[in-house]
Amino acid sequence: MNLRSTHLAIIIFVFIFGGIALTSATGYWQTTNTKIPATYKDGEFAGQADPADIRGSYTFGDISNSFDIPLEDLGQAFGVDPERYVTFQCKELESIYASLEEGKEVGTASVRYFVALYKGLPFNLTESIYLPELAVDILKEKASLSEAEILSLEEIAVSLPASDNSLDSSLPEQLEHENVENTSTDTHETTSANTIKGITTFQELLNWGVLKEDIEKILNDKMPNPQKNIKDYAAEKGIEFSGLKESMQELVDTVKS
Amino acid sequence: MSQPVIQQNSVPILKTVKIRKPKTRLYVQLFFFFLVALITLNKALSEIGLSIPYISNGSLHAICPFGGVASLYKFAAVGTFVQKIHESSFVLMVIAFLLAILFGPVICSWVCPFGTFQEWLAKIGRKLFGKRFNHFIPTKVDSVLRYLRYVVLFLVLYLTFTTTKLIFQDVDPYFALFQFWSDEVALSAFIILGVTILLSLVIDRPWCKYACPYGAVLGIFNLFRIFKIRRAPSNCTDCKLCDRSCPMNIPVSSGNAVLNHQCISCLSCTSENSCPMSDAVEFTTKGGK
Ligand code: SF4
Ligand code: SF4
Repeated sequence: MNLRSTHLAIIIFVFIFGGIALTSATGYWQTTNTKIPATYKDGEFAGQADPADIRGSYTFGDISNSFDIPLEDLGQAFGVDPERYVTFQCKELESIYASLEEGKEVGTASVRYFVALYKGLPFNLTESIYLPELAVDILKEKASLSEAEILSLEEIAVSLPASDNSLDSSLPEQLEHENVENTSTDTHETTSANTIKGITTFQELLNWGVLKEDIEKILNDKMPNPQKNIKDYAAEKGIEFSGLKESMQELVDTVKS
Repeated sequence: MSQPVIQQNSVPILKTVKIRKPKTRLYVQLFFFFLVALITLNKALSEIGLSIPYISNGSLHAICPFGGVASLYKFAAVGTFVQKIHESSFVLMVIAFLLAILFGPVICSWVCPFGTFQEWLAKIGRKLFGKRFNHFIPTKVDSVLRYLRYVVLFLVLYLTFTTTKLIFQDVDPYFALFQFWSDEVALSAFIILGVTILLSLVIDRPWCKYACPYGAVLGIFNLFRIFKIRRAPSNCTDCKLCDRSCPMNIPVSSGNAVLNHQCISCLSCTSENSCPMSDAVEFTTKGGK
């Protein structure tokens, strides 16, 4: 059989898109993670989920399911907004803990380590891993740790930065307005060049100097918990995020200029 | 024993009418290049809450068949993929293997956007250096360097296996090209992209020839693929136009079938494209027609 360019082009399209269609129909075609960590292959813990396989895209909800850890413990340990416990992705930790002193980092590796200690699972420490103080407190209370382990945990404990990017929503309501005034002259670079993105929270708008009243005018409603991100708010209210984002961005730009 | 006589100087009176070169491959390459560009753009947009309708927003890794290859060991051992790789990479890997068993590395010449990118740069190189383009490296050195990509392949597989991370991302110029705005791209990947761009101005497809681990995997299929580039000596005038047209510098005219691990099934050498004689170089099964 002799093939020419056109035949080959058609065959390539049929193979590629036919293959994708076929596997989509059977549900095998996945372009995102299934969020089920690998299990230990052998030894005492064979068959159990391995914390080392937790990835940045895993949400606290996924981790809670796979490792049977209460969401509250995970969320509190890492200072996450309670409303976002289920959907919070490990990789977002980097933005909360962005202002830690150089060399210290709280991120996905910290979650892996926390989960391993919490569940008493084996974990291969290949780098220095830091944990928030709250996480250490929870481990002391709930995990079975030796004296030596507790001491070493205290050495790697870092406090939740008093950063405006923190998602901890425990601030009392009346402090919010003060916060606006205190920070309105600061330039906070939590989101690059004060550009609203999917993860931008109302608190960040306040930090950029936008007034709560102006935000409420646009929302035509009371401002929600400042730690809520704008995209989630839009989704909840059934508002189009792009439109809301545009109006909010105008406010931010007015403050900037 | 008498050797078959190949007429070298006289052009046999055969069907020599030359048709215009078909642009089919270019169109297919353009399609995949822009499809991949749109998918990566859509992925970036999805992070700020926007999206392009009807276009997937999977990551570049999710639509890369080499991710499947790099994950093979982990998949066999524990049933999961290395970080950032998903089922889609596996599906595409299988499709690419099926295509390669039949037709060789058609993914390289018809689909891979990085191959396409290098071909576009080659057009500039050809303008700058004329006939010297793609002939700067001495043949002896070149033929050794062509095996370098198997060393890269071994290293990538070994490091992926030992770290269970997609280690190749840090040196992957394709990732750097399509994600240049992202902070996920390592400096090393940008440097390799820069070097590849410069080399592409003097050599056709330098990354594919010397470094691409995926090209290395697909190249192995050339040894036993079903459709091959076959030359009919009886129709050949030995003008060597097929040799000159080959981006991978394969001496098509010196054998009856191309088994070279570097052939990418671009069909440039065939009678449909460069060879002036009808039915002299064809893409056929054994005994063809
Ligand atoms: S050899 Fe590699 S870079 Fe070149 S076309 Fe093939 S897959 Fe793409
Ligand atoms: S020109 Fe012919 S021999 Fe060279 S890579 Fe293309 S198909 Fe293979």
